[in-house]
Amino acid sequence: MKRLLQIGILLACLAFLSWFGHRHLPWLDLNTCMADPERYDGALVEDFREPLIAAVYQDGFLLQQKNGPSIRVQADTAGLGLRKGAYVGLRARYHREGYLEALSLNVAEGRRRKIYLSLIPLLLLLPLLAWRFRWNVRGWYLEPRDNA
Amino acid sequence: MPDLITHTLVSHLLRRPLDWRSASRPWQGLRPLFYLGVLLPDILTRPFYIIFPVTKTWTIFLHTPAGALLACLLLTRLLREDLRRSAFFWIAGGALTHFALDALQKQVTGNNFWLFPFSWKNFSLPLLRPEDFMALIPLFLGLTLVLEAAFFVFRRRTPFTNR
Repeated sequence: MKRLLQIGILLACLAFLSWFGHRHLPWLDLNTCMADPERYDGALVEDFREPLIAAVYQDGFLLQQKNGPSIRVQADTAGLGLRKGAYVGLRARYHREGYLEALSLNVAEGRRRKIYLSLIPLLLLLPLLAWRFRWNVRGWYLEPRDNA
Repeated sequence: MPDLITHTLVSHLLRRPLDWRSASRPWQGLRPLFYLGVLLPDILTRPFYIIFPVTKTWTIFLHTPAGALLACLLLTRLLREDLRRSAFFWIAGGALTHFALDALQKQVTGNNFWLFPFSWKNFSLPLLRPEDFMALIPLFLGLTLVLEAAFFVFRRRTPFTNR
C-alpha cells in the first residue's frame, strides 16, 4: 500500500511538472504566431515541430513541420548545404506578412541516421534487462535472476 | 543530443573502471540498470515527440535532471525493497552521464535545463555537433575494445572473485 502511494505521488509529480514545463516554456512556437500574426509580428520563434526543408530557394527555403503548417524562411543559404528533406534547427523572427527571418540556422545532417543508430543500444538493452531481471508475481516487483 | 550508441559507449568507458576492484560486490548485479539510466532521458522523450511532435513541449521536463531523477525513483519502486537504494544510484548515475554528454553538444536552441523547474537557464559547453559524435563512434568503440581487452588479461591473471 505504501509503495502504491509512493508510485502515485511520483506519477503525480511527473504529470504536474510536465504540465508546468509545457505551460512555462520560454520558447514561442510557430503555430502560436501563425494563429495571431498581428500580435506576434517581430517575435522570436524557437519552437518548431520536427521542421524540415520542403524546398530550397535563392533567398531561403520552405520550412515544413510534421503535422503543422509550412512557412517560407528568409535566410542566407550560401555555404549551409541546405537540401530538400533535411531537418533544421532554427531561431527566427516572425513577420506578420507570413514569413520567418532566420537568425541562426543549422542543418541537422544525419538526423535520421542518428535515430536509427539510437535504436541499436535500446534493442540490446531490453533483452539484457529481461535476462538479468524477472518479475516476481507474488511480490509484484522486479528482482535479479540467479545469473545476475 | 548525441546518438544513443555514443551515450552508451562513453558511459561504459566512464563506468567500467569501477569494476576493476569491485566486480564481486552484490550491488554489481544491478549494473544493467546503469545503462537503462544512460538511455532513460531519451527513452522518456524522443519516441513521443518524434512520432507525435505536438507532445514535445510536454516532454521537455522529462529530459531534465529533475525529471530523470523522479523517473529513477519511480522505476526503483518496481524493484524489490532491498535493491532500491543501489538501483537508484545506478540508474541516476547513468542518467547524469547522459546529461553531461548532452551538454557538450552545439545546439541552436537549448536542451540542458539542469535547474528546471527553478530556471530555464541552458547549461552547455558546446563543442561538437551530433554528426561529430557519430563520426567518433569508431573511436569510442576502439577504446571500449581496448578497455575490455585489458580487463580480459587482468581477469586471467587475478580472478575478480579473489579481490
